[in-house]
Amino acid sequence: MADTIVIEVARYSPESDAEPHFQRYEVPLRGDWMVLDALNYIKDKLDGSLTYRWSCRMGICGSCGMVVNGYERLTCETLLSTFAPGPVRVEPLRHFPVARDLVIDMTDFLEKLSRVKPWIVRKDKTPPAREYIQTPEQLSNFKQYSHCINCMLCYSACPVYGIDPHFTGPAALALAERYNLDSRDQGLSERLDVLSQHDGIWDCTVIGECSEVCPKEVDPSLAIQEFKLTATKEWYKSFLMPWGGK
Amino acid sequence: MGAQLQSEPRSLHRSISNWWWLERCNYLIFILREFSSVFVAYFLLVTLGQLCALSRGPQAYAAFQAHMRQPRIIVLNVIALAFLALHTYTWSKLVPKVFLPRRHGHPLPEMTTALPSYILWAIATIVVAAFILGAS
Amino acid sequence: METSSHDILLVGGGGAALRAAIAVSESNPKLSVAVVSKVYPMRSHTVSAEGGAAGVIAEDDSYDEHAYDTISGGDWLSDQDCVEIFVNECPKELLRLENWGCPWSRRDDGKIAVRPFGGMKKMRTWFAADKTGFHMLHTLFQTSLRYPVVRYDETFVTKLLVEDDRVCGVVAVELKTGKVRLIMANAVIICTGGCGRVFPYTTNANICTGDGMALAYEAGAPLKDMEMVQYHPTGLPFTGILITEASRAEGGLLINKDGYRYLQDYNLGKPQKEPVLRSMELGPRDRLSQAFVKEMEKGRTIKGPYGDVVHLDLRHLGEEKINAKLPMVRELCVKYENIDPVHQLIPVRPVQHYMMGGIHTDTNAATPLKGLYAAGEAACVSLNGANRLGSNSLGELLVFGARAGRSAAEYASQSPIPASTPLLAQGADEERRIHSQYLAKTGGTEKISTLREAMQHAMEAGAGIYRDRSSLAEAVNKVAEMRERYKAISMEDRSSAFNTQLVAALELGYLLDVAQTILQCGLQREESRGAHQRTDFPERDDQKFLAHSVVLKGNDGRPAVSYLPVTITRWPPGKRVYGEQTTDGGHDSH
Repeated sequence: MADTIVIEVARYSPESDAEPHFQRYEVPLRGDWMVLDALNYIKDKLDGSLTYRWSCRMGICGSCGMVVNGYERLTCETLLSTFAPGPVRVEPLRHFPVARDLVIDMTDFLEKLSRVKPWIVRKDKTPPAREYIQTPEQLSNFKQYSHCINCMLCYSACPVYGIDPHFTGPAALALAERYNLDSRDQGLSERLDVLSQHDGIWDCTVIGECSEVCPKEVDPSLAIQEFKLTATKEWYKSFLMPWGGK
Repeated sequence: MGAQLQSEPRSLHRSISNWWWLERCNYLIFILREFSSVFVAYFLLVTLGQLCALSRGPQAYAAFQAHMRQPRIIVLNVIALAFLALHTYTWSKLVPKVFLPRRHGHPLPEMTTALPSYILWAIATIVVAAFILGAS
Repeated sequence: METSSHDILLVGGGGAALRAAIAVSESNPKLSVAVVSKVYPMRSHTVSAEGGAAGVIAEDDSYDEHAYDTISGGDWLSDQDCVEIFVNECPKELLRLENWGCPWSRRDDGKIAVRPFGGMKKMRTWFAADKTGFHMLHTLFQTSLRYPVVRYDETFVTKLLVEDDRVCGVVAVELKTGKVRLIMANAVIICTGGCGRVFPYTTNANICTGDGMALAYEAGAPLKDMEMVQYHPTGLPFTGILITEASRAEGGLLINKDGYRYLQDYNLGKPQKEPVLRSMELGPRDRLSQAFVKEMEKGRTIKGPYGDVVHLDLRHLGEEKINAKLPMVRELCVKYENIDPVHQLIPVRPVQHYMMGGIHTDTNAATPLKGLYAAGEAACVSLNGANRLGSNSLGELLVFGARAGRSAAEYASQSPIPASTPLLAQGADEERRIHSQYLAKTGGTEKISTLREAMQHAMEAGAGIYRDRSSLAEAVNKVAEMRERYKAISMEDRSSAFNTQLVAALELGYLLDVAQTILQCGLQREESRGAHQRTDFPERDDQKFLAHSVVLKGNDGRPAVSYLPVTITRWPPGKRVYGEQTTDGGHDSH
């Protein structure tokens, strides 16, 4: 293995640039370095102006999502040596406005997250005396969807979101389904009102790239399709059995 | 609820290229998959044409068969068949991506859910092939 | 300069802050509450917590037992009135979180499951697989979205506004645009977490730079017990990533280079096949970390590429159990060490993990500075004393976060709104300071990363697991030198938009302040208690030091330490005994 590797990083400063451009840096190639370690090396030793988000460096906070050699990755868990001999191209996530260098503006995602009502909805006013009973099997119905770390790699990978920014998007819809499937929740009809719309679940054309890139194996595509099946069932029920409903 | 105060954005908005579907293998397969529906419609029209010709008598049907034997139609049909195979294969592969039953909380393996589609496809192919080859 | 005002302002956006914000909204919906955080809330370090949150729920358990475990675990430096409040309120808070959707792991009958944890005599740790902090934070954040909480995301606080001896808000930089904001408030609650990045090897995220502690210290609020720094016995070498205590609760073993369970040599009981509560691998964190250092001195640790390690052995648990109970541990080992704990030994070493010390508050989360409150790891109530038991800190976020919210709400609804003119002047001064000392600064010669690394290594050498007067004094000098050199830092990034070098520079300033308080408190506590181990004063000294170190910024800018007696209610100081009871008391040399 060579001693060093070249990193090409997308740079953009709204105050001085009209367009992003790439800047090349040469960094040590260590066997246990992640791409994030290389970015930190650049910032600490070579160019203090390089700008990117990171925090936990263990793949749980969701800050460090970027596009590395064309694919969405969490840079804190992407081994640098996978790309040897390089160069490694690091760019900001797609389909979001770029605030600076590798930092994107995620306001849209947060607005959509609020919209799907990602909380337990209960019709009863008084909480139970203790916990809601929930068996391990009931927990496993929604567990995988609850693993979303809001890293937004799925939004970057989703062409529908790229073409139509109104699309609610994979992570928000997966989180909506997480609550739909939680045995303690009674909010399905409220979420359906919001999401069984043109830019909700029905905008999804089952490309599936969101699930391919998800670092936590949430499988948001499956969540959306399951939500579609539920929505269709509820639609039939609403006029065949108008007295029912959750 | 949970409102966020924001000053005017100065971020760079980038639009997606019209050729986005060439950028990644999975995107290309997706577009081809969707495009294959065109050939499903094509075969539907061919079948309707065939039924129509049948209903108009032996002369009309012979003309239909002659039309179908033209080299350019054969080429078109081969391409269409390839797309139809892609269509059926990707359809079967998609079943567990759309509907994944669970047993005791654990999702069944994807192949278990996809297998019935593949089996039906195989059976249908065998039956139709036996019928056509038997008749000829 | 943009200005805004709220009744209550939370600084920080993690578990404690979100719980406090919800508590404010619920206690008085008319109050305007805002959260200002340098990262989006779901990025807060709460997200990394793995093992669980303790709360008495089993029939054979009691509040008194949880209290005793906590107090003895804290080596009697915990304020017992605080501990009693905590153990009482914690189960209710954990249940409330369950009602809000937190996916706690369950028994087969659908009720909450509990697991054993270090230092606890009974099984009382609630858990959500091995991602408890992640699930708690996301539940709190998503639930907070249904309350009218205003958020200033990615906005970095640089100063607390103090006028007429009361805290009236903050000055903060909106990172996206570089704009300096003046946010006025009747009450400010600091929930900015710990300061692990003062040390080189830490489980803490990059963002854990002691911001709130430094802000409070600068504003004249006292910090408490800063010398009490917790080392977690099992972190991965190089990255410092945490391998949760739950791996030991499920049966993981710590072995040295001879495959020997070495903890049995350190008064932590005798090895049994199954984990025994409060014994061996389920002993308290300070004792386990200290045992590692002793093993290293005896030459019985394994030399790795990043220093000495011991091994954590999970192989006997089997793949099924590891996948069910410790999936994240497996994932982390595979990704960051390229080993599979199902078949291989995990290299681990103690790494800095938690700050028992923090901003001094009472049991209502109020600091002595009017209008200023604090909760979570940034605060020191003191629940954890000289050593925190695993699974007490997540509950602490909820209990004291809620109490902070409620008490700040009461204060804010009764206190007059601060006058804006003097605050505007302070804000303008601060804006000028940021500009002149950082953004417009030229001729700097010191790299931020060089100073930061030097400080971290000085802290590791001077205020590590074992300390003495000379190591601490040397570190005091080194950090003082860093403080001087800090005035000459070089800034390359002059832009307004998302200037993370400005953030790094400001954070380094906070780290240096906090480092000074840690060292000074450590130097003056001439005894060994819990996580603070002095080789020159190896015994615990209840005569002189059954008291908290309280440190204020002196007029000369240096930390000035005084002492505040510990509140003892029902548990007089005793010996900390782990492992089996022995006739001679079984206590160690501390």
